[in-house]
Amino acid sequence: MDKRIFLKKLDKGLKKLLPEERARYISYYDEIIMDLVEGGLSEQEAVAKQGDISHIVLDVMSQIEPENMEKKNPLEILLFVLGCLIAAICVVVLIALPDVITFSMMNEGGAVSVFIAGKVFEPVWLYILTVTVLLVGIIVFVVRKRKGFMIALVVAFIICVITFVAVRLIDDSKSSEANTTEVMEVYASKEVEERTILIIELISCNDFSTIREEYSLPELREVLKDDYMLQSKAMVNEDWGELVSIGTVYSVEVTQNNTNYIVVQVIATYDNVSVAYTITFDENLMLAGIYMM
Amino acid sequence: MDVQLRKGLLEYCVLTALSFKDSYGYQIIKDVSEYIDISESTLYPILRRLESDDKVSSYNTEFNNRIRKYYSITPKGREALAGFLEDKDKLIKVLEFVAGGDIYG
Repeated sequence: MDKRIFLKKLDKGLKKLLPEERARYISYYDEIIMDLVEGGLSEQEAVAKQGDISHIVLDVMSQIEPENMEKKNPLEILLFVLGCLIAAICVVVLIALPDVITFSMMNEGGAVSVFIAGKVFEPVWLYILTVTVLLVGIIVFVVRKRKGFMIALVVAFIICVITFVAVRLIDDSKSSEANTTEVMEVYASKEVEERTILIIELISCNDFSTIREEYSLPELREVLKDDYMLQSKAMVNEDWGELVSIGTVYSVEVTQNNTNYIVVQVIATYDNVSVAYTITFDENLMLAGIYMM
Repeated sequence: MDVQLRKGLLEYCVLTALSFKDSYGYQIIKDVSEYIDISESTLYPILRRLESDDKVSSYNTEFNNRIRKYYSITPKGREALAGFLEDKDKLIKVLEFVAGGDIYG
């Protein structure tokens, strides 16, 4: 065994000591071995003369002063546990992060209103928790002047930033996937048609509460507010007039991030205006998005 | 030699070696091992203890392009040696007493 390996192994064996104390041992043995080499021994012989590393470690540990031992600080343990917890939560949140369907159609008239199916939510509380723990960690380690821990913390922080950016990039790529969603098959069942007509009728008579409560995904309820819907309708035309007829219902099934959606397109004719609806349902025919122009 | 006894004596052996001139790890081992068993792994904790007790101080010097740590006895270290020698008569008495014991029954 050469000196480098010997010192490396010794360093590992003495990991229970404070880093500075450990460094002293390493330089002590380094010096002794070099002295032996200068005294005429080969490096291997000088190392062999030191005996078994496990014996050295035992010897050292039996004589070490308690204050030179690496201390376990309850706060450090707490921070470590919290860190693990946050990491676990992050993983869960990432896995459970709902699929996002962004359905947008550009038209000369422009989009009148676009609803997004699924939840686009920012785990703000997670950011706050992460930043808090990192801050507490930094304060603790600055107070205790633990250089090694500071470096570890900075690395952790960089990892956080990279993860954050990576998640953002994944989100972006999901969005771009959304633009190239594969159309699975033409899907025009009777149920879809009936549900589409029902929704259009409810919109026509401004009965948004029924849509909200009975026919839409929970995520959409927030945006299906009466005033917002009335506003959206007014942007298409000030006064639609009575519903005259509903055209042919065209529908396609799209699959996005393993979730199936049914996108329906239909033109409804009113007294004063024709409205092109693009309505998105989930597999249970619950409303996932509405688009009117 | 008995471990406990050796441990106690080693401190004074190291102090004695340093009482002549400043020295470094390898040299101390060479000097002391003529009289008492000492290994690299036993010397260092002793030096550390003596240093934290202020009986020994240390400084680094460059030697052959590397750092060599020299140890030097402090006045407090010399006091400790003197104190130990004051107990010499008592120690000899104890040794004589033990030697005069009915060892073989």
